Amino acid sequence: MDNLLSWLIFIPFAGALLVGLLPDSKSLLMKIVALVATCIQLVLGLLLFVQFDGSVAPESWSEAFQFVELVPWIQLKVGTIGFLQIDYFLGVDGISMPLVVLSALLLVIGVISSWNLTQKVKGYFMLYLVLSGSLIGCFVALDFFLFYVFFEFMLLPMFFLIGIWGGPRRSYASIKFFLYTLFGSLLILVVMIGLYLSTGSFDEFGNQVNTFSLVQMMDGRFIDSTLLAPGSGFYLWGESLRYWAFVLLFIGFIIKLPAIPFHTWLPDAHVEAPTAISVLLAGVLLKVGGYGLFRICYAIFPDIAIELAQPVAILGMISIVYGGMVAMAQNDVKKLIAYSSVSHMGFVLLGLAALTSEGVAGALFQMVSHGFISGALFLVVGVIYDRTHDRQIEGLSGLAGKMPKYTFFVVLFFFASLGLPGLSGFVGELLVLIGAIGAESTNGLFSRWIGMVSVLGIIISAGYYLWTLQRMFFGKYWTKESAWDAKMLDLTPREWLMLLPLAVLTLLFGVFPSLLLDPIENTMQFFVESLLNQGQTYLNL
Amino acid sequence: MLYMILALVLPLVGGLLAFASGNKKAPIVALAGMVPGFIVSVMLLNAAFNQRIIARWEWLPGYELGWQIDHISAILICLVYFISLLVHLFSATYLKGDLGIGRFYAKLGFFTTSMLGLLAADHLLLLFVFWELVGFSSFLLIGFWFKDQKKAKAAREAFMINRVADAGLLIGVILMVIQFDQPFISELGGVEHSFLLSLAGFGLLIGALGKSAQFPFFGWLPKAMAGPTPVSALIHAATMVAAGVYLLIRVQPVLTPVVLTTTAVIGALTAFMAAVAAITQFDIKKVLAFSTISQLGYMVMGIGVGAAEASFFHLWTHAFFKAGLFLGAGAVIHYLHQVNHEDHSFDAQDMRLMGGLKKHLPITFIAFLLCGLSLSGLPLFSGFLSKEGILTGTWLWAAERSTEYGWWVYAVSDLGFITALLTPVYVGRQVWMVFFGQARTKMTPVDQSEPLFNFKIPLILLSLGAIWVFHAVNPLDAHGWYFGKRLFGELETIQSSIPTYTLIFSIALAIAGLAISIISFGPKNKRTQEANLLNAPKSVVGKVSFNSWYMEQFYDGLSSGYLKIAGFIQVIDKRVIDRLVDGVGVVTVVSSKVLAIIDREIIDGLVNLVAWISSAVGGILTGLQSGKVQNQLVWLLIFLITIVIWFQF
Repeated sequence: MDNLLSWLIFIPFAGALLVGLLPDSKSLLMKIVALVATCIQLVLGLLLFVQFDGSVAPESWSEAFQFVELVPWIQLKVGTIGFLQIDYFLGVDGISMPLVVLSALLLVIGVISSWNLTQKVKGYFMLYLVLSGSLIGCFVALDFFLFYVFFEFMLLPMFFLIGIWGGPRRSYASIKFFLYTLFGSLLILVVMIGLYLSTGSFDEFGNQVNTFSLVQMMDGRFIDSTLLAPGSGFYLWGESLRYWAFVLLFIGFIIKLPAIPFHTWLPDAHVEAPTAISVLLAGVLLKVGGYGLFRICYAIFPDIAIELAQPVAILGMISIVYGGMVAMAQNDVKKLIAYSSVSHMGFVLLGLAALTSEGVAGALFQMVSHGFISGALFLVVGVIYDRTHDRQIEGLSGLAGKMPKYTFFVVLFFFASLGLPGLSGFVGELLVLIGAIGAESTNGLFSRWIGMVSVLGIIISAGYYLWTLQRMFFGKYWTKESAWDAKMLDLTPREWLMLLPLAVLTLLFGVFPSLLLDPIENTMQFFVESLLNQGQTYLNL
Repeated sequence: MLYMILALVLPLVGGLLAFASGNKKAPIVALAGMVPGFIVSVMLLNAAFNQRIIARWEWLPGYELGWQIDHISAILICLVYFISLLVHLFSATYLKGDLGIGRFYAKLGFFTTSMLGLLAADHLLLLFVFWELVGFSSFLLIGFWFKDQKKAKAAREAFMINRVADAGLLIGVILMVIQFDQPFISELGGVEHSFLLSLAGFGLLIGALGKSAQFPFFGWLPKAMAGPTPVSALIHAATMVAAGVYLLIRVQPVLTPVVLTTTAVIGALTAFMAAVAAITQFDIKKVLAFSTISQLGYMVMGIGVGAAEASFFHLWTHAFFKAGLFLGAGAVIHYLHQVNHEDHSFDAQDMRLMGGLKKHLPITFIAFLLCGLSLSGLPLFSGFLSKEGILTGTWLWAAERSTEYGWWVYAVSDLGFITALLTPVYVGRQVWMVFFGQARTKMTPVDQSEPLFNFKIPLILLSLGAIWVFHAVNPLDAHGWYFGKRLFGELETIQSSIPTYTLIFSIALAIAGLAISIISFGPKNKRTQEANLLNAPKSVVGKVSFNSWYMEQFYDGLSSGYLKIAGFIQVIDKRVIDRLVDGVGVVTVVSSKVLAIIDREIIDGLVNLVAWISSAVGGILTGLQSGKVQNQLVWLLIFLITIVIWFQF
């Protein structure tokens, strides 16, 4: 199918338009439109997964992408600087492909989860579909400008989705989310402009043609002695400008990831967001941060990535331990899961910092598997919230006897999240830890003690999940308010429909991780090799 | 290959089908999976004795995880099957009428498959995978009666303690992966000792100590007794807890001397500590749990001193008599439940409420006695043979190492011998308390106290396993046990104890221990007997023993300390980091308010001022533009004159 990626982006946009044209009374029809649009997206996503050629072993980033679409979008002659060149440039490689498929899947599940919505249905699904398109756009855009447009475009629907359909403190949470992310994207914007000015080539008339193309940036097509070209000799406070650019990008993206100390928007946003939005937030939006680190921060600034490997790894380690310990102290299940996300995303940082093939593949695997698992965990909490409008651990006890099927899923996803082998959470963490502990002997980027301390994470996560299980699900059946009692029924078919696919995938990727790892192996290999080579070259300049 | 796959999956398939087919048919269906599985495992044993079975499979890119069935794993697979089969049988009666029996069989099948997978794993990573699954299924089974908050808590605590040790194992395995690229158990060895290797060894050791309930992790095993008793027989006596010992036997070629010495010391210490703790317990299962820990301590010690084959032999014999003891305890508990089933507060595991059961449960009594004597290490029983091998090995090791390490290495073997003295004491006490004397609660006879097939068959088979002839010809010498040559070939290193005096020494210790037991707890002196048996000890030593070395308090302290730290960090997160963010927000808002005021009052004021001035000036100037030509001419004249005068100066 031609232009697969464009279809993936624009079908939900078309859906949003369609929903907008429907009269307000047809709320069921709106839901169906949203469902159909996201289902088509899922089918296309699966097609992408199947058609993706994992055997391509690229030599440079320009060969690494498949399903490429390149259309010139904006071309302006800008005074003495040269040409302003912005392209509509799409493509996927082994880094973005799994994330696109993951998003497509969770988007469908999010629609199913919002099925019972009654308030302002039209606005909700319009925003939801706009969000769907932008999310995919973010993962497939290969032009920095285009990426930035999608990146910002995601923000607005999210803001409204939390701010209008959220819980009691929704306005605080949504504004916090918005400002925080906006702050991050400003940092990214600064670097984007810097990179634009430094990347490009000369046309046959000797005119300088600057470009936003991420591929060229990754391949290191810098113009000599521009601001962000390696070895150009621009310094600020004793460090090169490239160093500061890396730091700005890094902060911009770890706000999204999130990592300590930029994580505090996440618990608030999660607690207030409606279930489906929490699922997307944890399952996909956080991955945009991780993806940005892979694609932009690391791939364009490999020299600084090598230089700063140790601090980044330590930050990952702290996130793992700190996030887990704060999760332990939570009473609200949703907050607990939000903090566990912080902890699990710490593994992404740690694996990426290691720059070994295990670590990097593990970081990516962790992102995908965390997408399934945390998505499922928020759905699981949603099940309780739908029935009681409460999420306090202390409010319930002994649910296992009353809702055995529900408890089965809870146990499955809790253990998947705490890294039980055979479920997907384990694979990511294992690979990251192998990468992190092995980094010292593979490329010597940082000490193995960082990885060994991070193993504490698997104890800590077991601690909070088992404690929650014991308090909420085991023991004698009891509810804080007697009115809840009548509502404590086991899973409805709709809930089965949401949870079962995620359970199956968690198990499938846990037992056969190569389903995901094989297609992306070449990209990962190339990512690591080119980063280390390029980074060394840049550092020697 | 086919045998292997069949043997591995049959228990799980049987368990799942049992769950699907409802509570009534569950036991039959599960057994229908286990019986052919057992037959397959015997065929597998036969095949493995001819040729080692190896299968490899790429799990992760670059990671070929492998399966291997050699003599050692094949024979243990048979053992797991044998005991699991008997436990399946026993549970059918034990859990009759329980609404969760289908779930029980699913969990039991899952456990059995995980355990078999652990034994068949060749790659250390694969071993870790099953290691965790075994821990997980054990968690599910301990918490089988989850409606009881206490049992749920016990399950969690047992899992957590294991998890801590598993983190150590994970580090060990990863360090092995880093050093060996692909650490296949079948290819380990032949490396130079290095710091990294010792580090890896300590990681593996910590994992093994956790699963085999050694110091400082042994507190989880008594907690695990919250599970149904047949489960304790399978998991917490015969199979899962042996996994740590099994791992150590497997990785022994890469353990550095410092790791091995630590292993020996911890093993000896645990053997002793647990034996002391067992002496004062009142819960019938807890005594057995501590005796298991103590015996596992022997095995661990044996590996540390280089007598791994003797440890393996002890693992083998121990599985029979300990499973027998647990199922015996299960029969007792089942009986007491039946006769007291109106009274729900009745604790059917409290030995203070038992007594005189030998006439109600004759078969159970005999089986329990035989297994108990084997545990005590009396000659003619299997436990004597294997324990003797370990003790001899330890003695020789101490004699050899004392020149290098100093006299203290004898403490290791001495602890082993002291434990040999203590073991018969607690076994004797338990047998007296449960089966002899007067019944201490009312025992209304019930028909079928020992259901013929389901209870008696397992008990009889297991107690036969406690007798020496089923393991070796010579009742006094472990050297030359049936499987020794086959398993370890010419390399068999169990020391023959015939010429050394450890043989006489241990026989003397076992008899002395039994004598102490009879004197302190026996029927001769009624008053001291009652006091010794029924009251919680008051002496310091007694309290240490009764509270099992205060390990519980130690863990509680650790976990409450951890919770405090977590709470503190949570406060920091809320009060500091989040406040900072909010602070930035507040500062921004306040400063924008200030700016707004400035904007309104000053900048806007300035603008207004300008406007006012200009309008005022404009007002004046408007007068100038009256539109009258004469006036303008006058003004023009004045203007010109002014300029002329200006330029004059």
